[in-house]
Amino acid sequence: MRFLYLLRRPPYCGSLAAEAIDSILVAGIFDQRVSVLFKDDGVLQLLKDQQGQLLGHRSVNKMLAALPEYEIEELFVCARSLAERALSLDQLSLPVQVLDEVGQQTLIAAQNVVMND
Amino acid sequence: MQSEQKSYSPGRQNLICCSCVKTSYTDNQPVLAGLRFNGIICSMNSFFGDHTSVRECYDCGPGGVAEWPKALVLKTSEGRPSESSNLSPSAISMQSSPPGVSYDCYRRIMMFSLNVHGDPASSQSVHSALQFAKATVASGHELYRVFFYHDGVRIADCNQVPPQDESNLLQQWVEFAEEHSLELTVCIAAALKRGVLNEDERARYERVAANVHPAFSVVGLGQQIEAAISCDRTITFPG
Repeated sequence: MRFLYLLRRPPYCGSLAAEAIDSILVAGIFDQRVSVLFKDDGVLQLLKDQQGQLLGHRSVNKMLAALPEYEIEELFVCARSLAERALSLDQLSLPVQVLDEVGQQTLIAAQNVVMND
Repeated sequence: MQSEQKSYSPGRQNLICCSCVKTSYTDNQPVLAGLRFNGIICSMNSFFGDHTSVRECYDCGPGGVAEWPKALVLKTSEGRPSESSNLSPSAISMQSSPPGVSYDCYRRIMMFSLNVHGDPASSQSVHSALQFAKATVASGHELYRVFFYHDGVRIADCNQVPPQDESNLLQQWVEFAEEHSLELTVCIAAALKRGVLNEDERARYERVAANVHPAFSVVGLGQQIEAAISCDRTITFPG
């Protein structure tokens, strides 16, 4: 089945982001076709050089770095969310595909399950 | 409907794809117009997993089914779902008919799973999920599992004392779950972090008291994924 995780929360908002990543990894273990769409403040989870320990957390970008090991390589970001935050792809820690609104609609429509954070 | 009555092969799985199903509404019940079947409309999910061997659309034949996820599965009343079927026993018994009896009308049962992420005291999530759960059952659909994650696990804390003039969400969930034999689960990792412990975990971590309400099972995250795989629809109530 196709699972899409739609992550819209910032990386250091309690343990929301970390727990969502745990769920993604478990879906990977279950041998599902998992993709992730980072949207709104969720794109901040992808930033390089995070120092989560200063905020009492594990660094979210390091947790996300485990995704390819679980064969979760379909990572997408919302173009508008990047633009609104003046971010460019070279500031992100993982290779991602940028999607406009239509592309996101198509992605979501193709899923069997969409999990929110 | 009589004019378009079709025969079917007893004992084999009969499928029908979405393009061949024309739904209309009678007494608020969706019906398959123009088709008579001794069969069961199964969960749409039945295609996704281990059911790919069954590929022939009853109505338009082999190759007619372009988009499997949108199709419906019909099983003959004599045929039993395979062991790997995701159908719940209750869904089967509701729709089974004696052999040889034709049904004009089938209800499409959807199996729902809920993920509840918000704190019961500081977000509307747990309350909204309860309303949704009640509406799901009231409209004839089924709930497979409710999985409380993130701050949602706090609903299982039996020490909560809501003010008398506010609704007791925990009690309402427990009563609803008992009434409908519903599985209430909380994520063990999220629960431990928030001090929601059952007796096993209390003993393991040598804490003062266990506080998980007995109506809740403390389970791993795998239960969340398994529920999503097993159901037609997974709905999340974020915090």
